[in-house]
Amino acid sequence: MKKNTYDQKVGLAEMLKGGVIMDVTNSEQAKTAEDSGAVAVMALERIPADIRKDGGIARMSDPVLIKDIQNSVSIPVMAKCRIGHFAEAQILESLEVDFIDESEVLTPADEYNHIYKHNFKVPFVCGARNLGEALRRIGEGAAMIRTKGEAGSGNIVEAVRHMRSIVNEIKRISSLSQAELMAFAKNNGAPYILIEQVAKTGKLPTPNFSAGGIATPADAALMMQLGAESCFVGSGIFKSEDPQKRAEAIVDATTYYNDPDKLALISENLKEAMKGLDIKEIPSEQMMQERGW
Amino acid sequence: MIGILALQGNYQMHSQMLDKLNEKNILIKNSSDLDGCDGLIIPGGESTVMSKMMHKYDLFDSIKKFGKEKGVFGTCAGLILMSNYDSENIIGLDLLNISVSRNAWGSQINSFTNKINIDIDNKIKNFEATFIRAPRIKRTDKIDRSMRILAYFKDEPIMIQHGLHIATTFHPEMHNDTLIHEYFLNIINENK
Repeated sequence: MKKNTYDQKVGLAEMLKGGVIMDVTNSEQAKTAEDSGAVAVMALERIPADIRKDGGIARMSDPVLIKDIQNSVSIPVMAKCRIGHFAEAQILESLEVDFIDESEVLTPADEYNHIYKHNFKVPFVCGARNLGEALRRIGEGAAMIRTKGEAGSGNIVEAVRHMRSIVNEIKRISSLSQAELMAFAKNNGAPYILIEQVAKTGKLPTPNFSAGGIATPADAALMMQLGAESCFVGSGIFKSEDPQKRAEAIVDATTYYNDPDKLALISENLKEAMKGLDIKEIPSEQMMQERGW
Repeated sequence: MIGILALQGNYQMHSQMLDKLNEKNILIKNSSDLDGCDGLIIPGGESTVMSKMMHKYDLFDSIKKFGKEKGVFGTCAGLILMSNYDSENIIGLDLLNISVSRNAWGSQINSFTNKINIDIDNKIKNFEATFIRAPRIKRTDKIDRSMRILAYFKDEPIMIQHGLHIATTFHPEMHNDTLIHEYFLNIINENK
């Protein structure tokens, strides 16, 4: 019997396609997420908008909180560890979470290295802003990529920038010669063997989801049409006026992303979305997307 | 032509398997998409999500009706949806009279791959089966005699057939082996 292989890790990511992964901070929110049609939940102590507001060091959640959430839902439970903090990841693995997010939303623990994720039994998801970053994370063992966007901003502009950048770079390398692929690998700090594979298949070796700024059903539809295979929604749900209704609407929009008539109905009467931030208002040292190397 | 339920889950991989077999296929998101389909695949994914969406977007009754006359093939979450499951978040289509428990092997860390033997067309064939947060079929002793158990893992059924309906607790779309998809197409062609 084979267990914890890379194929099985990517396999779970495949099963989450066409769905919405929601940030939750307690078992009640987790239940709301499951009832609204979330495909998985991300258990964390504070959602990104509050991490941004509160400042200080953001760390892995208390295991009690994660266990509570695991006990309250039947869908997969994910949890975040700090970039490079393999001891936090070991603890999350011992809790048997279904996916670990080595996340820029938490304060990085290592400014040079990410976790070597092939050493773990639990699959990892990592953020990326471009193809080179995505392939570095996959090289380290990530089984799922999510575009970073700007977490807790409620502003879709960065998520769009990152998704377009990955999709365009994949298109570009598909037309390059082998010699040019090596130059691309060098200039973008990506493993050559993965660059070659992407150039041949025209897609990432793992599913590519979207995160960081989705606040409305239309945002989810936009990201899916741009090439996302699922959506992570952090602050967008539980920072809105009617979380359950908004959660359901974003789930429906992720399925019917290319059906404008349905999207119009789905978008009706959702009350206030989260307020959100203009990216220019965020001081550069507080840009979460800059974390990760 | 085969429809693949595309509310959520890994429907694309089933589409790729059918492409390999030169079988026309379409993704099903609305009940009208079923018109002209000779069979339906319900893929793996999250059964809670698919069940909710099937009810909300009027696919539940149309799939149930479709299944009375035509072939349906469910994998993992698809097997749960074809069963008689009945809970707050999931109502099965009751196309197969089996009881199942969800995520019955545990969390992702317990997902596994194993070689299995499948009893089809009077031959035993080898197959590589991957189980991801997989369900288990309960109370084998009470399984209806009209059902055929096509494969076991450690004495418990993992692939089952009843007339035009087949279901697996594992993911036959994951390893480029079209054996089970071909078998499903044969069942459908014999019914035409």
